[in-house]
Amino acid sequence: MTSALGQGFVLLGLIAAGFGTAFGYIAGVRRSAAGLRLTRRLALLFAVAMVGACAVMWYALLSHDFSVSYVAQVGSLATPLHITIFSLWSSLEGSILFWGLILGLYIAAAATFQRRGHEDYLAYTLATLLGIGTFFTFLIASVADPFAPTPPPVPVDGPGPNPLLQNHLLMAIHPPMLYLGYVGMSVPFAMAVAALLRGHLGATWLRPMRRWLLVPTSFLTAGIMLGGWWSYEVLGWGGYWAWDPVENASFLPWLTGIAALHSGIVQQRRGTLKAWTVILIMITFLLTILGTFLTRSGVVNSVHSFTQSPIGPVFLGFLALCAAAVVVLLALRIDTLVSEPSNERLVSREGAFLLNNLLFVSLIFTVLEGTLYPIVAESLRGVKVSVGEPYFNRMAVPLFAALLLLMGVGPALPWGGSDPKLVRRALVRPLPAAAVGLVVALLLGARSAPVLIVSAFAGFALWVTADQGLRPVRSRPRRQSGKGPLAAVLVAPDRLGAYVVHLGVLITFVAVAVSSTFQREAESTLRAGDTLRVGGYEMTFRGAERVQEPHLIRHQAEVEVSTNGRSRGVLYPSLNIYPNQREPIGTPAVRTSAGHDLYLTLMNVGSDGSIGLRAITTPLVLWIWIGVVVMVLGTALCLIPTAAERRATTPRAVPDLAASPAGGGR
Amino acid sequence: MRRATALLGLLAALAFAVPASAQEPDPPPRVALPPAEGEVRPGLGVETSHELGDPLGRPLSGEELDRAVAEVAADIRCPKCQALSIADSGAASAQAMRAEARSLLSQGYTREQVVGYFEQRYGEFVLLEPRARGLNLVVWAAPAGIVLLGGLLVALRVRQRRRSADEGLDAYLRQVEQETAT
Amino acid sequence: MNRRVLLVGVGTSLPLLLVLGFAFRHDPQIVESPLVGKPAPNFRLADLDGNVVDLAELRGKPVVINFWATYCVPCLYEHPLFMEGSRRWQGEIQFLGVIFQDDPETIAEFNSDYGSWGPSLVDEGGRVAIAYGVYGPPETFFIDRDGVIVDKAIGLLSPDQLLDVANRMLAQPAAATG
Repeated sequence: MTSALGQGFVLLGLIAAGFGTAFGYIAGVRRSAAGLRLTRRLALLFAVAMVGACAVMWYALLSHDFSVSYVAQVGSLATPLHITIFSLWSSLEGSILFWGLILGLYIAAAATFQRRGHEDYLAYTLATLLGIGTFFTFLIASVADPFAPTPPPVPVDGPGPNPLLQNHLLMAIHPPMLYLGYVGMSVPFAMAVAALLRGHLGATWLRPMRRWLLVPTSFLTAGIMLGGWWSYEVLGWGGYWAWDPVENASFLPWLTGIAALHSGIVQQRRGTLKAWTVILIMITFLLTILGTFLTRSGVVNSVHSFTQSPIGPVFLGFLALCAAAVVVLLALRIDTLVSEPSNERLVSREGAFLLNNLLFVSLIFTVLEGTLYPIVAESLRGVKVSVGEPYFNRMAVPLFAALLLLMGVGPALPWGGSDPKLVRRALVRPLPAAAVGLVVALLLGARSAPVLIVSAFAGFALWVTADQGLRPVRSRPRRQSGKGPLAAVLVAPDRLGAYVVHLGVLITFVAVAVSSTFQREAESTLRAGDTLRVGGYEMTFRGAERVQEPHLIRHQAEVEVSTNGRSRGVLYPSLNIYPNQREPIGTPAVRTSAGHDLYLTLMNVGSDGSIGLRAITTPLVLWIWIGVVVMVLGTALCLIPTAAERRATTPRAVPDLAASPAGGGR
Repeated sequence: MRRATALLGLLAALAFAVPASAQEPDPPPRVALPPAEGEVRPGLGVETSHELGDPLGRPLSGEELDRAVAEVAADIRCPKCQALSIADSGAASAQAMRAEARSLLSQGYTREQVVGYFEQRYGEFVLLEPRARGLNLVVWAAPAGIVLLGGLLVALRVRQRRRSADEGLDAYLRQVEQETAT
Repeated sequence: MNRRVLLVGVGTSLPLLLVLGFAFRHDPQIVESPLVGKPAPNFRLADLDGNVVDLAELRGKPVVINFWATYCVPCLYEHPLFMEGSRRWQGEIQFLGVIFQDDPETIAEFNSDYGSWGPSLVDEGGRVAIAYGVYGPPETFFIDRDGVIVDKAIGLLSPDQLLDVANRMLAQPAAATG
């Protein structure tokens, strides 16, 4: 019964999406208002169907209806309520259904909020989005059907979701964030398709597109950060990023999304790079599909991947279809997007944006190629190889350092850059800040060249970011000064937002550089009363106990932490053992402070009561997450409409200069 | 038939045996102490010397040894885990491999010899950084290639746009001249 | 029609898709051992009762080495197969079990409950497992009369594979031992 109801909703979604795609394209070609209205209704119907399907699945999960195959696969009577709710996305079929839900919500939002000012493109945009929806509902209705009835006999209990996902609440929010990012990239993609089909893109396209690109990019930022945090808090290896193929898969569209945001700024200011922005958006979408394929097809070795399933080939087919459509569409229509003529110099703001895009593309290419090379090697050489952390660090760190330098130099440079004197002054003024960065690093004990270079770059960039970000406040006209700095900021919140994002990037960048350079670790087998020392801490093992919980057995060690003989509290690193799972899963105990983290992992518990304990001190870890929070807040600022937008609804009235997020340098 | 009954019996037993053994945590590591030279129980163990050849370096100890072990461990993939190195993994087999690396380095084998030993046993897959030879050169050279190619395209674009912009300006000036002349 | 865009687009996406398509032909979990065709690393290990087994002394007789543990479910599925095998080829093929990261006491308990099909060797420090490049249990190595590894099975060994490799090893003339 439940099965049939769920399948019914999916089928309804499939029909709505299928017809919506067809009607949308027809309405687009004929510029028919009635057709557009119908398409919008079908888009909303699709969203309703997806919400309904997910509601049915949640109901089945919560009522432990094991006659639904997905519930039999991930449900269990012993699983706590909140984990049962999250188990909707803990396994393959459910995660695709959840994907459908998010796509439905995005489509509904696009159909609702883009009604005004974007009519020209809306029919094509919705048609493309519903085309993607058609594929996903088709997937849910066929090879990844979570509602399939369980073949009899229906079990009375199930195994419960993957223990790794049960271990930490972060698992509840990390996947939805990533999906919100991944799926959200469909909207700018659909808008790019619409622009190509219409053959022009003006301000009515660019402004909403930026917004629809900012939102998923920001979700991806948060999702990637939460994934790193989860890895740090749960997996117990003391790190947050392992350049795992699936991590890379989420990293790639994030990078292209950011590159597209930056080239969009040039387009806004100079009317150039139009085609390039469109290409980047399309690549971003293709990379989200590629990433989903890598995660779900089981072709790469990864912690995060789902098990092998028939979904792989279907996804590859969809990827091929999308890639073919994108290439043909670009080849046919790209010449319609003519850039406005403008003089360009390398040492100018435009030049910096070009270099920024060059670096991003190089980074994307490197990560993509490193991720896929093992498949190439196996196909051509017949040998399995690994491309792992040491490779990516070696290749990506110089590119990141160059981006950091550019983050300082770019915003300092004036648009046009035709006056060499102005250029020179812009580049000389932040130099003292670079020197300060260098001295601070030296004082903190850094001696390696890469760290010193990064510190100097970071000092430079920090000064420029603060200078540019605060410019509207400092240089507001005298007669307005009575209104206060807030009013000055609200003229163009996106401008401040952009620099807040840069500030967050700087914080995270420095924290990552410092934390990976100054990590200390020690490991030993301890008996009760033994002490392990690392980085000024003394850890004394007091004893271990075994705790029986409804769905797991926990071995927990009591470790007293002290510095210089003074007790700093007790930490409880533990090992969790789930039924049906042989490898125990460690939950590290972390003592976080603004300066550094103490990270304890219980490696094993001996039958004689001894434990294997690993202790790591890592500086500034907290600041990695803080930096990301700052980035997300900055993005939120960018989403506030500018004064000009609030004043005028007619797009022509938007004065480009005041509204530009990276405007200034005046 | 007998095999089938044996299997069934075993499966039935498993139903009890697995939870029972699962209550036992990860077995205590029997690897914590690296068998220093001469300390191995007499006569037991595995012959590795004829595959490794003679040690080419000098025996390391103390902090120098710790550093060398950490460096080797960071480049070797933990066979049991996914993308982690044996330096980062807490899996028992990763601990055993670290201990082996420590033992070999303390006997005077060079880093290259130790890494080579793991590669010879587990295959190229255990190297987290592919060796720069043959087809693997692609993965090393391609990023530099794309930076150069992209740089060239950017430079060409800037030059071309500058020229066309200059032409545009020239044409405009000519037009102004003509208009002012008449 | 912009030919340059078409060319670049097809030139980048087609190889990418082909590579991804090829990926389906391989199981990411299985890594071919470089040791197949090479001499098996010699070892001397004690079983649970302290009897020492020296691989070199078994030259002239095919050997099957199985790395296993009680926590590994496929290993337990393999157990009846090895029981049967060691009975069928008694005196012809030597079956050796090497304990992979497990407690000898647990193994002894298991053996007394379900019977054992050969010596259970205690691999101190996991060094033999490293010498054989074992990724995880169960893995089975087949060593011919000359002490060369002729085949390796990763994961659950099928009766057909055991039969096939055993017959191949037995068919090799004993005189070749040198």
